[in-house]
Amino acid sequence: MLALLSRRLLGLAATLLAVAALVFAVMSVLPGDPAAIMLGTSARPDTLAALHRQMGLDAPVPVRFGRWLGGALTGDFGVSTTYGVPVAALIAERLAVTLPLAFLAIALSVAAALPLGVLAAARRGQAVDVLVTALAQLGVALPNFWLGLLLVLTVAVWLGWLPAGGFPGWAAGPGPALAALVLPALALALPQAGILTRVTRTAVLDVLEEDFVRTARAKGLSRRAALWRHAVPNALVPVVTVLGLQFSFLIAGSVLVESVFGLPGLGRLAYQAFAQRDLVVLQDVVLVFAALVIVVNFLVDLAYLALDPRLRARGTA
Amino acid sequence: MRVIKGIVGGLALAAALSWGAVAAQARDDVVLGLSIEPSGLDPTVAAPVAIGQVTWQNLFEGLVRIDRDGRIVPQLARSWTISPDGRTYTFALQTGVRFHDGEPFDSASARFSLDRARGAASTNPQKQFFGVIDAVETPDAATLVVRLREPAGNLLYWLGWPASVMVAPASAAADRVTPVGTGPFRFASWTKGDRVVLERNPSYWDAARVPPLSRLTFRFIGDPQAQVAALQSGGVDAFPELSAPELFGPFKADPRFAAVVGSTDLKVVAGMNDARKPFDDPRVRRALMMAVDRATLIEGAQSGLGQPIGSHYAPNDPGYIDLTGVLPFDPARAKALLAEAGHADGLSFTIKVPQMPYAAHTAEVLQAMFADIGVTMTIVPTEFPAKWVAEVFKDHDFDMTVVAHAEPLDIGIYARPDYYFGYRNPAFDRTIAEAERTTDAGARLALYGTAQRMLAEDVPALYLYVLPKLGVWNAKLEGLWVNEPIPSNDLTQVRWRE
Repeated sequence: MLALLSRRLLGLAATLLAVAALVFAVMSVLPGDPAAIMLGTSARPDTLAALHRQMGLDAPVPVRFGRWLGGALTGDFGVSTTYGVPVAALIAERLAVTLPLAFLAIALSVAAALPLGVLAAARRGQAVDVLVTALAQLGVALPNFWLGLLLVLTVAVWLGWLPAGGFPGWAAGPGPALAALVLPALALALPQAGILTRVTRTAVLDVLEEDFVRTARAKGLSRRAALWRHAVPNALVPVVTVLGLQFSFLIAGSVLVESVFGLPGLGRLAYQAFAQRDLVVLQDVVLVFAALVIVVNFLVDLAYLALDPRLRARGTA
Repeated sequence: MRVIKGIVGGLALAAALSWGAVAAQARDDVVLGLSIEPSGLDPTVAAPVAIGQVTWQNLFEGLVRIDRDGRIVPQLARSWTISPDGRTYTFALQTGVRFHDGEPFDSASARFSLDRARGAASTNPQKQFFGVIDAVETPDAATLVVRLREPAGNLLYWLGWPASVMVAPASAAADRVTPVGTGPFRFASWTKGDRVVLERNPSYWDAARVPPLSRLTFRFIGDPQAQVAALQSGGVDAFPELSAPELFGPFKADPRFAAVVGSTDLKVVAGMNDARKPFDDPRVRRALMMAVDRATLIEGAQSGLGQPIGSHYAPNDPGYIDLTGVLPFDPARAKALLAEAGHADGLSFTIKVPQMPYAAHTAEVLQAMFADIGVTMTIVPTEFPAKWVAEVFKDHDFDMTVVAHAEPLDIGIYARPDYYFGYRNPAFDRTIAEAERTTDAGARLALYGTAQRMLAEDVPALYLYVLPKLGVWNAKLEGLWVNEPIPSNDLTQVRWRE
């Protein structure tokens, strides 16, 4: 267990360093000068040079990378060139939107997908199964930004039940903040729920056909008991795997959904930072994304250990 | 089933909460939507117009201001005199004015502001304008003397721009994040990526212009569909500049909203690389201009909303002449001109097009119009501002491009030797230089008229149309600017009708 943990942490550090170097390299060959963007089309060369000095852009790329890395190691993530504020605070503000959004979306999709997937598997071939499978197919096919627009039009504009976008901040109380996250979370969750429903259904069906389930049924266990005691717990391993993968897609999807709903999340920050060539911010945001994905994968591995006794045995050996 | 019930319950709860928030809202505030979030809140250190659109007049003030009709009116300078040689401006300043942090505004802070804008470390986006200032003197606390190297007829106009606002020595360095000005509203909060909130300045100096509202909220919504949704759901009271003309129509029929078409200074021009073949031949440029039917272009690219222009000058600005008839739509003559220039077999080139919808749509319509005179134009998308500024603006690596020029009265850019058009015309340069030296308004506007004509005949860029200002706001809201003589959102006189 400890060995696994330390191996993982080492891998995490190496991955983050590689990601950081890659982003820096890509951004330095990309056309676009953040100072020129700030100063617009009337800027004179001397004004530009003054801003380059202020932003620290007059140093060569490796030196800037070294500076940034040194700062990051000591907990200083630099200052945004566009906003002029420390990036750490900026990212913390955005995480307070993106993380609750991602967790809400995951919770919604699990809450919908698990019962529906098990139900469809248990009633295989019946009307319920056909309906659930069709709905899941529809969910997978819907792009989440389009779904977002549709939700805004119906729930926010016509019915007026929820705000159409924006984020009042957690300081305004959990009620308004959560209300602002419901629609974007739904838009993110529905396509994911579609995928998860299908995976759950297939996984449960696979397990139901295994020999040990047949043995259990032969020993007199009812169909329902076999399903809940044997099939569902064993089907959870592939479901958790897909759930872990979906987290990465949720983060990527948040860029679009946050734009549609005007949410000040990490995805939109990344997009803005790219458009403004705010290298320091982009660098830090990509690192946070990478770290989140790696941490989630680690949690998925832990979940395997909890779900499958065979893996536990191998881990201690 | 339980899941569905849970979701419905959650929705109902959330709905109740959000409805409560709306009902509690007092109507002495306004929520304004903007499509672009400013990068920083100090208009004196960075160019994006969004900075001025939040802070100018609301939070920061200048020695003079530009009013809703584009006129120069006194503000922190009560009055001024100009010496007969046009080189010395003496301003009498308002007294008893304080910045939001309590610092007094006087000739010392005015001098600081001007010196900071023209100094060696200045990153003022309009620093070129301040270059003409030779010295700033402060004979007493209420008098400011500005001495110029040469007469500058537009000095007062420039002093009314967002980039020329007055800042305080103690707080200027932090204005990007926590702006401190003399205006009727002071900075309250900035939730990055979402909103900026300004609140009433209780000790505002100008008793005649105390604002009716107590709170201004600027929300940043980039997606056009989301802008419409925010207006219709009441989350935003006003969108002074809706991004998508095709979404403007439905608001005109809706009595809850005022849908107002105003004019801007955003001149959409298709710039050509005049230093490069074939655009170095004026006949080619004229032929391309005559291939363009501006009315059809505006219809196709802007749903018919926009004013045609024949030169680099907006109808909003003083001294405007309608020159759309100089090179009118005439495909036959355009073809003949091309043949005369040695391109009887046609011509092909590329256009680098920024991603903004107006630019993309305009390029597509132009492509079809050019095809009618045998010209093949290939559209190459480019990312604005980053890639466009690097490739087109700085490296001059382009044939044609299309972009809206935002600065008012910026016809002088054609006299800049390093500007991206690569246009060189000594007669034009002399006219602009003379206009800039001329203090008499009538004589100066006459010279700008000559300059407009020169461009209309020579077409260093194709002059297409001025973008409309598509304002949509709650019908009960009064006092918003219809036109935009300068990119801004002056909300100081906005109020709710009873």
